[in-house]
Amino acid sequence: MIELLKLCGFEEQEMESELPRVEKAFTKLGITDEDIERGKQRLAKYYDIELKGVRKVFRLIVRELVAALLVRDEGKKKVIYGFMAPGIDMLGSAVVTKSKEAFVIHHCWAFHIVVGCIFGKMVPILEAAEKKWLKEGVVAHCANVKTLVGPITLGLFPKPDLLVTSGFMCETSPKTLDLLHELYDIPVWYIDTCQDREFREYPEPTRRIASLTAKSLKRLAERIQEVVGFEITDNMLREVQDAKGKLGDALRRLKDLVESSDPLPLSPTHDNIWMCLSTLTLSIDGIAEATEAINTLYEELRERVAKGLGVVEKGAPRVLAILPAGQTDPRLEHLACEVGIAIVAIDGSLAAPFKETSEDPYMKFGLESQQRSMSFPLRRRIPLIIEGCKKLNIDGVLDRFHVGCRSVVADALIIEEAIKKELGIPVLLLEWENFDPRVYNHEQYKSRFEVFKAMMTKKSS
Amino acid sequence: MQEERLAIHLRDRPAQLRDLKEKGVKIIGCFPGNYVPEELIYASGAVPLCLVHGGSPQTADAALSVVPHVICPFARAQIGERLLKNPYYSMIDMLVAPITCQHLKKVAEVWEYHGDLEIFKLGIPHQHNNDFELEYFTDRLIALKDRLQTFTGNEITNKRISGAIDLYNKMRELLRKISVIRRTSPSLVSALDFIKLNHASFYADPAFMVEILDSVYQELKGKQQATKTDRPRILLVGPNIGYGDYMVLELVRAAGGEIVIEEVCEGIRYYWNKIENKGDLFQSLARGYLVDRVPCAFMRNSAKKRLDFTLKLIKDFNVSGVIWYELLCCETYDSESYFFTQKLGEQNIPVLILESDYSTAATGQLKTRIEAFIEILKGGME
Amino acid sequence: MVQIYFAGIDLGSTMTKVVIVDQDEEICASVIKHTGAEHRRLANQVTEEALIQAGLSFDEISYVIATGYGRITVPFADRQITELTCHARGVFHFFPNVRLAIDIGGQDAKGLKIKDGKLLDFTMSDKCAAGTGRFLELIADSLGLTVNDLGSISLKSTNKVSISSTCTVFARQEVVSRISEGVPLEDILAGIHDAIASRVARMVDRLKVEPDVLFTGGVAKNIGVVKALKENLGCEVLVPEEPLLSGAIGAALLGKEITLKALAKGEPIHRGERHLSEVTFFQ
Repeated sequence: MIELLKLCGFEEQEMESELPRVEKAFTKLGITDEDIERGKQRLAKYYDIELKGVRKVFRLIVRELVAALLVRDEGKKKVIYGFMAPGIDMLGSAVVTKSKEAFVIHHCWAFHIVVGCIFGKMVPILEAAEKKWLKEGVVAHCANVKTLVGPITLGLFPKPDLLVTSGFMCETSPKTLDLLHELYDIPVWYIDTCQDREFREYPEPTRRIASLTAKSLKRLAERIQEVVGFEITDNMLREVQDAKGKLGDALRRLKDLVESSDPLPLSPTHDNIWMCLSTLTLSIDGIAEATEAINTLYEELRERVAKGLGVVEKGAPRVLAILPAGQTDPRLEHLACEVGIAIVAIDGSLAAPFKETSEDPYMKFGLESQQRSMSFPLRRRIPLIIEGCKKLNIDGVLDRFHVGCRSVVADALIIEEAIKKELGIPVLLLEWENFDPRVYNHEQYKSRFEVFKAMMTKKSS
Repeated sequence: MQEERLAIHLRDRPAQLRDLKEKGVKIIGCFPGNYVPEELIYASGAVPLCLVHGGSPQTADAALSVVPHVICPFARAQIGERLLKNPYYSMIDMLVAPITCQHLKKVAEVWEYHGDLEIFKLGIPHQHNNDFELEYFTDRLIALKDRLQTFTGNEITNKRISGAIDLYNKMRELLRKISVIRRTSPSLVSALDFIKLNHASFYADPAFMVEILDSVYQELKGKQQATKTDRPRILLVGPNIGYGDYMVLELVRAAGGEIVIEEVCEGIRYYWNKIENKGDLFQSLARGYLVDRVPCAFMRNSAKKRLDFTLKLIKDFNVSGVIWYELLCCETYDSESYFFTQKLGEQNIPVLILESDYSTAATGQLKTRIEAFIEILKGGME
Repeated sequence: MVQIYFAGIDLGSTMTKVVIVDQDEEICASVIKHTGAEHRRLANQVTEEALIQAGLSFDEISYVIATGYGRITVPFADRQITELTCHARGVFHFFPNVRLAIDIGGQDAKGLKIKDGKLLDFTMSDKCAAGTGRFLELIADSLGLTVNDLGSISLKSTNKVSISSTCTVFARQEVVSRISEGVPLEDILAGIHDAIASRVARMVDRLKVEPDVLFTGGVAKNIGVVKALKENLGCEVLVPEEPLLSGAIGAALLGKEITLKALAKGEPIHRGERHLSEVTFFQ
């Protein structure tokens, strides 16, 4: 266990206090010695943990999960879980900065990375959820909600005082919470916006929608205030947004370095690690630690770049991946590297050009949420992707489309057609599940990647 | 007699619409679910069409060149109908797209992407516990009115809106009355007959439709008497029954069951409530279409509300079993089916869950399930 | 007392089964034959074989019920009833305390909730091969074995591997990978059996698993799956001596019920127009 923690960036001097907590938490998860061995191997294989920055980030993630599992044991009086709820990280950070008695966790991400990516033990969780009502197979529901229902029905997490989700992207998560409320008596809350953006409004943000988002988030804040018993002021939120802004800048700087370097200095398996980091409900100090970890990593990568070191060979074909990396399983991204493909960016990091912001922290959030690629209707998402491809000198696009996601799956064929037509570069469509490690066919994916690589290499030669 | 008149009207409708188009009248479509106030379209002088074709595996499959199979077959059918040049789908000048579930939202986005159709996206807040959500919807209705005015060139006065509400209220009331006849006399109106009437109302001229419905109702009222039936009485719950998606209805009838009432989100106009025709009409419309109604499954907290409504229907219509019909890949209905079977199971009400992706290959499987269910309702072998 | 007889014909996708019972519910004859493309037409021949076995003529059968996938096309049946209802009645005959019957056949898997022989609720999985006999066939095929070999080999396992249960195609590939890694055959097969059992256990979960639990259908002959099913359900699982006959037995017994009820009421028995001839798809 100590070795595993060291791989995850824990320092020698904190072992005494941290080790018993981690052991207690992992026992709750049913982690065995066999799992720990496997965890060490997977960390070494799939992630660049020789880099201190990466280890520091893992440390934050592991600590968050441990805190979430031990939440009642460690005397937190009020517990709020967010699940797929952008915005709750902002409110949650404000809450944990102010109080030691209240705890907010953005549930999913830390759980996915530790249980899924590190230990490879996500499948029993998914099966527990499938025993209830979530389908498996071809018409499966997004496995993400299975990672919420599974732990709840297995009793891994204690019952929260409030469970929050959003309908920003899809109906699956809110519907799941509806059922959890009715069948398991868990208090729930939803933040919502409206997805009626029209393409003709681009490049302006749609202010009425930003305003709706802001009001919905404000209502959530009011509800959270009721639960925790103290006020969440605008100033508290501005402080959090400032700190997160710095983290965001640091990540942007890191991604720019990765995108512009040849050979690719860092494995794309880390893409979802950054996503997790941005959405953890860390206190202001925690966010600062995260920023520092990213800055450390930045320096380490600069060294790599200076020495011409990378995880794929120099001149490897540059690929843009649509949708985030595997949340519970790093094998696909790792395979891409092994085959010699450099996934330099994901479309989620492509953002709209407008920079409008607001003094009101809620409105600021509302406006910023309109910048992400997936918040655009298809007619504007595609030009955004195409411009991104041009800017990043992309040789091919990997659309590993997540079949469980009713929100994005429909775009796949149209994106493929548009890119081939506009840019004439190869597009690889891979039916896949972002959260379900069972949907991974090594032989098939490998041969398709090899063909993909050959097509891109042929093109450029 | 009325059936014939209606059939002729529908047969000639596409030609009639073409004539109107030549005269400069706009044809404006929308999707079902009862979230788009057709009154506003009618009040603009345009012809409202609610696009609701479904049930055909050919059209659903035709859409596979555009979207993967994981999109629900009803949504795919909409894309397919337009690809295959169904006259109604080809003739619309504008689409008012309610942003309801992800699948139908995607249809609007795909058509928006191809850029050959004027589209107004009507945003539906998925919850309405807070004032600002109802306000948002009201504002969007006003924005819809503005867009319709510009598009048609006609002024949409309050008087015209009021007249339209009046007409549609009549339609809703008549549909309700006809439907409720089945409480006492289920054999007078089969579920298939009723649903076909309802589907006709989506494509027919609204005023003409009201006339037909009135005649039908008068005819049935005369014949109405409490009749007994030894067919098990069934409630059908579902997301939408497409115009043409009648296989389950036919199979149930053939297996000896009788569907006496439906709780169907999108296939049926919510004939249960009226729109208040006074005061601020936009607020009235917003309230009526968003709040004062049984919610569709994509709305927040809809499970309990729909369950309560369903239980009331079961009681009022003396139902002995529930058939839950859902389309493959519909994540909201699929989740709710679990909730419903648990809760109805607690009350010992048998539930049969059927899934369809419109494929005819599945007919045998559907038939077996439906027959076994009817056998259960009949208590085995009496 | 004149002896009266009842026949049940279960025309399944893989096997055709015919059973004749008398009014004391004693089985006078039972025949099991492969259906095949040819034999679906020839259900009458299988029936004739049963009649010979019982020493009866066709007219001596008071009531004939056809069930199963091919029930619609049997012209010599008085009535058709789904295999679900028939099955429930059939298993009750041997196991009066049965509450849950799991039937895994060649092409589908069913879970039946039963009380006193009556069907209360059911789940079916008939859209894909995973979780059915076909799954095992495909795996046996890719290993160069027959389906009958699988069970006994798997019981030797002491360290079963985990195989994905979601999709037959994936499972097959996993099997091939494991073989090439040198994993012992019995461990792989134990994993395969666990995969099919866990999938079926998930399917029946909503019917509430309570004893007695029965396992029928062609796959019930596979002791490996029986063991895996017990483990996945966490309870004892009973297997009838002839797991293929429950549908036909149930059909015959339901025929008896209908007949005796009519006789008790003094009503005529509603027979179909029947003649023992080839099944045809044309009316």
